[in-house]
Amino acid sequence: MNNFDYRDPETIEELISILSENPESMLLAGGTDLINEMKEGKHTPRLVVSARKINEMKGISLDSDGSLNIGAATTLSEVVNSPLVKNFQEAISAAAKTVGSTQVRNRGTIGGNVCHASPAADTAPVLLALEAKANVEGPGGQRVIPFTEFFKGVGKTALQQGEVLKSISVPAGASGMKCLYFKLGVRKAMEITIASVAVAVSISEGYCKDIRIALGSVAPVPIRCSRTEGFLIGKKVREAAEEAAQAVKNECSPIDDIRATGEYRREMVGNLLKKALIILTAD
Amino acid sequence: MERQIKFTLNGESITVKVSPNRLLLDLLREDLGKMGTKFACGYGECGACAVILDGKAVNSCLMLAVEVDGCEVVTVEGLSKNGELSDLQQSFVEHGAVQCGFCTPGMLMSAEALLMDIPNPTKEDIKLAIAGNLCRCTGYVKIVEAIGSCTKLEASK
Repeated sequence: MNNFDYRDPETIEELISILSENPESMLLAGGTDLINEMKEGKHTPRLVVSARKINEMKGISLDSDGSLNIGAATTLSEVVNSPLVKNFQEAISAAAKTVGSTQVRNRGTIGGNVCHASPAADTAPVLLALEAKANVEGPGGQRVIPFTEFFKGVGKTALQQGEVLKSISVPAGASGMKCLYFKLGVRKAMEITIASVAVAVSISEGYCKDIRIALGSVAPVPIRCSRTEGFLIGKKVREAAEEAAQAVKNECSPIDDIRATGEYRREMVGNLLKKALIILTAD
Repeated sequence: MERQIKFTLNGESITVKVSPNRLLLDLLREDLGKMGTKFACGYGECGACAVILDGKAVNSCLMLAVEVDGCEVVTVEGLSKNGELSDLQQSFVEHGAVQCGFCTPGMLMSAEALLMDIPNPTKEDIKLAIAGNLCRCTGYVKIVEAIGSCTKLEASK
């Protein structure tokens, strides 16, 4: 790795100040992506700024409005094991658990997973399906970005230089929805997703009242499928599952790469959605 | 610019100056003589470099040494006491869970971290704990048995 300076500030203000004043600086959270990329020479920051001491970016809590707040620098293991997260919406823990390995999850953070903005990021589809929001802080102040507007391209987010993701908020309503995340891969661990589907539903007597479908690894960014969602509203979910599976295949743009062909990925999101809808209506 | 760090390594206090780009793995192996921790893939995918940091198994090839300032690190050398293998290490030996031995330190650290957290893990817990540790030799079965058997050893004491 190239040589660099290192700082570990104790407050988010200091962090933002350092990042904005040093355009060639990068934020280090868990390092499970960044350190590899620095070894490859993909990034050569002059200054690495660590979040390790910034308590304002860590921790999991419920806000007064009932929404779940997860600090960006919270490790994926903490998200996996948190009783608060599991009680609020288990799918968030389940999705975090699919990332890497135990060792990776003990360092990698949920903020890092979304900000690295791989199209295959495993926490992203569930956050999209639950309509979570990114709480961002920067030199210009604070702003809230819905995750549907957060991912801008492969490895690109809406964050401007000097801005950091402080925390993730999941609205209270997400707690009452049934949500599933399916990750397709060759291995059970240390796998980069080939195709993934997150579904969050409210179903009443078999009819779909509200539904959000998010896909991973089948577009430059994790995406929502508004047309398939619109199709399912008001329908009997089980009966509409097959047609929904066909519809979702047309809402993505998967590519061929070393892990799978686009054609395979397209087929798989259809299958995964159908599987999810059937399981979600099993009782 | 070098930075001085102070941390605990296998119970012993260590103070050392490191360059920010020094990896924990290299510090352990090259500067502190702890060659038990292995460099294999260097990408955090194989787990051969696993150590225990503040009670959690982590891949030392993905950690900057500066980030362990103030922390507790345990390497495989920290498992045995007074030259005697720990129960977990003994269990690996008795179950034939060691062939070439290269994955073994990483496996032991993942297992040790698991047992510190869950003294009576299920088979699924064990598999989850070592999912990030690759073994080219054994086929994993004996490793899982060795770890699982160790809990009964502990329980019978």
